[in-house]
Amino acid sequence: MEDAPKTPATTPRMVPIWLIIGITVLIYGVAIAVTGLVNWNHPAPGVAMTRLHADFWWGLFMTAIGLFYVLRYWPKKNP
Amino acid sequence: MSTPGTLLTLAPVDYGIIVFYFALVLGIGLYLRKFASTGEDFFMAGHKMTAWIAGLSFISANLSTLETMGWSAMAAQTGMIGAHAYLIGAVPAILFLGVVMMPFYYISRIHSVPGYLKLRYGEASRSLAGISFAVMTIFVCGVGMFSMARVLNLILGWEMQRTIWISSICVAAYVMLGGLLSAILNEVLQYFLIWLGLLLVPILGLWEVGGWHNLLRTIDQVQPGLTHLWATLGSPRNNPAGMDWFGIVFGQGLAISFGYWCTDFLQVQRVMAAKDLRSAENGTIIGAGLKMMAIVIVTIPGLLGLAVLSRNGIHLVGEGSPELQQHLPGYHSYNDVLPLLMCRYLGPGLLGLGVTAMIAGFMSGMAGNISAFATVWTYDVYQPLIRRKAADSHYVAVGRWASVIGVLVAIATAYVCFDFDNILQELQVLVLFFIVPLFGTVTLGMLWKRTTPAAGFWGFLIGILSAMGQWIWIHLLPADQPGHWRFDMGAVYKPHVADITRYADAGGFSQNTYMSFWALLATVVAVVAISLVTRPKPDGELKNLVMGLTPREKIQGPWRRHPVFWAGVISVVLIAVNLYLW
Repeated sequence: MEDAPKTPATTPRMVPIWLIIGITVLIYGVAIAVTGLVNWNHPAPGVAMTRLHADFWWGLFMTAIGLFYVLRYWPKKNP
Repeated sequence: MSTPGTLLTLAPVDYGIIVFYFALVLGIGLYLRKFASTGEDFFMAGHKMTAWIAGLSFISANLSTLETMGWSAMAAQTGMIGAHAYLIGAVPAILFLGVVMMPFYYISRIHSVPGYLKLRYGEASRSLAGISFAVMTIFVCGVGMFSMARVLNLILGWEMQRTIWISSICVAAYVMLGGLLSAILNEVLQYFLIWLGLLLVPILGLWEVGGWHNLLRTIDQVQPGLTHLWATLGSPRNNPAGMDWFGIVFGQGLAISFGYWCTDFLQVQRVMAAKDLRSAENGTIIGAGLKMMAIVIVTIPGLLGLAVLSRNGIHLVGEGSPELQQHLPGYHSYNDVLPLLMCRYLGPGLLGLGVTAMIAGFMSGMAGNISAFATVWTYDVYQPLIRRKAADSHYVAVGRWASVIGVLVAIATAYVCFDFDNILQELQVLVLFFIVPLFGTVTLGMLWKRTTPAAGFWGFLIGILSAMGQWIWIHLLPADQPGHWRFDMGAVYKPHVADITRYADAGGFSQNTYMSFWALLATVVAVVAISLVTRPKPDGELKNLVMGLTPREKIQGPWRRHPVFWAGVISVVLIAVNLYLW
């Protein structure tokens, strides 16, 4: 078992949940967009509507959302 | 045609997305451990949540895999009527919680809903509610495990028991480490994943059928009468749900909905963890808006199942149908509609995200149940009945162990689901037994100061017995020998169904809505009658617990930030959506 913190005066600050969400969505978005790009000319068999390349565009959309949250909630240095 | 278990194969990128999610939730649990050292932190997330986090968590705890799969199945089976769960079957109750009930919950500084019963009615009512809630929560958790294992078995061929164990261990670990804080943060994350993972299904589906109006037209061609929310509810014979307006309004809209949203501690705990009363109220109202939006990723896919799958050689049938028993190619259960649509529209990468969303939905719903169970077990069962006085750290340790043991018991109950046509019906039955009578008891306690401790306990118990009695009654069938009866959970006796619903052919969902209403009525009548002949508590003991004896916080700031204003806005949207889909 971990001991209780010995310096209560320096209670750690919690990373904002929005930053964790941003990083997760960003990583997933990049992975999906790259997969969509790789499969652009080789759509998965049995999947409908592949002509829209939804994977690539959705991946880009997620990347943008993730990036927004990461930049918005990235911890700023104390003055 | 694919056979169950081999619908598709995941690509490496899909596995990468899934593995990343598991690592992430465990990492969040480990990280949050240092922030969950006191009882306040572990059981109430330190009362630090903003309105948005509380609201997202509140809805996310409900938006589990069971919810998305179950209500999509309901929409595929019964059409637009399935959307009632997101409208009259939820929104009025959520608004009532936010505007009327939340001040009592929040101001009395209780840890749980049974904790309110302790203050209002005494220890006996608290113990009855605490024990019944603990049992129900574990059963619901088992239902969630089953549904997730089943969908992963269908899509990926993953072995069901292994799926249950791996995901359960993960949930037990992160709840044990981070408590409610961990559960809430994972729920917020899950909310994003579930929308990002499933939203493409309705978008691409609507694109394929040529838009909303073409979707409705196509469904009308496949099976007329499924595109209306209210128009076919004049009689249960007019719709495949076997429902009528009375059951929807008074059963689903009043009894089940208010019971679930206003007194199921799994839900209420999320908003009680808000940093102040205003955030708790606004978080609840945000939740009402988010709940309505879920129609897009739940009901519309169900409707798309009717329109798209049938013309592509896939037939959806009831769980116990002969076609499924004989494994005829092209036949699937209604419960499979969402996974089937995911298979149809989501390629590599997207499918991994969709599957991750479902896993997240499952694990988050399960974590919600486990964190609520741990709190109620610790404060409403263990503390009053087993060890009344101990250090705060002792109760935190009990809560951590309760999380693990709760998961183990839930695993043991997971396979009760096999006896039911539709996964949701079991949840309805469980809600019916405990939550509906609880709502009647709690609400009367809040709104009527004459309600007495004896009435609270006996009214609650009578409500539970009334619900159970009705359920047993409809499952009581004539035996071979005249005058003898046998109980069969897998069948109903139509004359007994007619006793409760007025219609012998009323469907399972309809039966539950009627039973809920009668159970609520029995509770209210019992509480009122007993209150009139027993001694009430003096006013001094009811401060902050009853309307009229609880000071209302004067809300500062402009009118547009007032919870009542936003509750009004949500109400107007609710009415408009109902009229549009009439």
